[in-house]
Amino acid sequence: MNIIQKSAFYIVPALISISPAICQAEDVSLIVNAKVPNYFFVEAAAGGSLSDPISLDYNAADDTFATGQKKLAFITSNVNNGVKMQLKNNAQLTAPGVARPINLRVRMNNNTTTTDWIAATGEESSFDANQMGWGTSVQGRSADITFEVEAVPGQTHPQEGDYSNSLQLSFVQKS
Amino acid sequence: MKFRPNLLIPLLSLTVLTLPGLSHADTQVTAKTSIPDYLLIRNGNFTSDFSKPLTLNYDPSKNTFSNGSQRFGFISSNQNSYVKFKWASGSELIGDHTKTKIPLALYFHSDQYTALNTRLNKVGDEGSITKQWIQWNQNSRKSPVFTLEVLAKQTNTMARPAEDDYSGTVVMEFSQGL
Repeated sequence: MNIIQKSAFYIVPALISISPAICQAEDVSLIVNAKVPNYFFVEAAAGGSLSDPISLDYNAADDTFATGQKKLAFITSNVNNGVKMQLKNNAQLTAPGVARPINLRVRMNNNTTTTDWIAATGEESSFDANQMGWGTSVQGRSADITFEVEAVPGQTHPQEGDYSNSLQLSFVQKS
Repeated sequence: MKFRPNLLIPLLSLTVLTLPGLSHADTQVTAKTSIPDYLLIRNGNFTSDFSKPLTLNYDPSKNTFSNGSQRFGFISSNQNSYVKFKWASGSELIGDHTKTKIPLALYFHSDQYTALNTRLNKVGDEGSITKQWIQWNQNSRKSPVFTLEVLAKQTNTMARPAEDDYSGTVVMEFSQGL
């Protein structure tokens, strides 16, 4: 019997506890993305408003109209592009009860040079990227561009009346 | 047939070896384990998945980026500890094509405790979730959930970002304070 006890062995279930990894300090990496789309829009330069009317005052003594203007600024994500302006409707002023309209023409002025005058529907004029003054004041913004509108020369002695119209202008990026 | 006693002993021994329950020998087994002091960093669901990118969307009409946010929870063996955090690296996003940079800032805060609103302005800046705020759950050993917000600094009205796909990796270091 003594021989039997000395030869016996036991399979003892082992209790295993796996401790969590020691983590006194750990780095966590976060992937951050941002997508900036292509954007382009026009706004009135500081102090102005796109909705304010532009007045072309008539001087009867000289039989001339003053040139109207509005300062614009263009905002874009792509400063490698210029800006093209297209006239979308008839550039003329009309008054109730007055048969003869006052024909207009428009252009852009960057304070150094001007685009060609345009007057007919669908006509275009443009500045190249290097004429826009991108980033002159702030990143992604053009220098102030003056939009000019005037009566086409040669329209003499207009009839009395309150003339008005809304000029539809399309500004697009010019690559 | 002649009786051979030396053959009987090995046969008995074999029986005991295959059926140990038949014996009555006593033995003493000692089981032990050691739980170290640990701090685990988890997301808002208390898993370790931090692979989802944080996206900052740009709104040209407002010239603003949305914030990206990541929720954090912690698990610790030491209910007397608190958590320190440090902006380890990744201070900006870089455009894939233009290589222009959008600097970042971080903001660590708590839904529960408004007093915890630490802004990190540059890499190396640190903050902590004190014992007052960490509020370890005594049973689960978990903390409340906190939020890290990633902000694009270029959100003022004087700058416009170029069109591009920007990306970067912000690395936060968390450690245990005792």
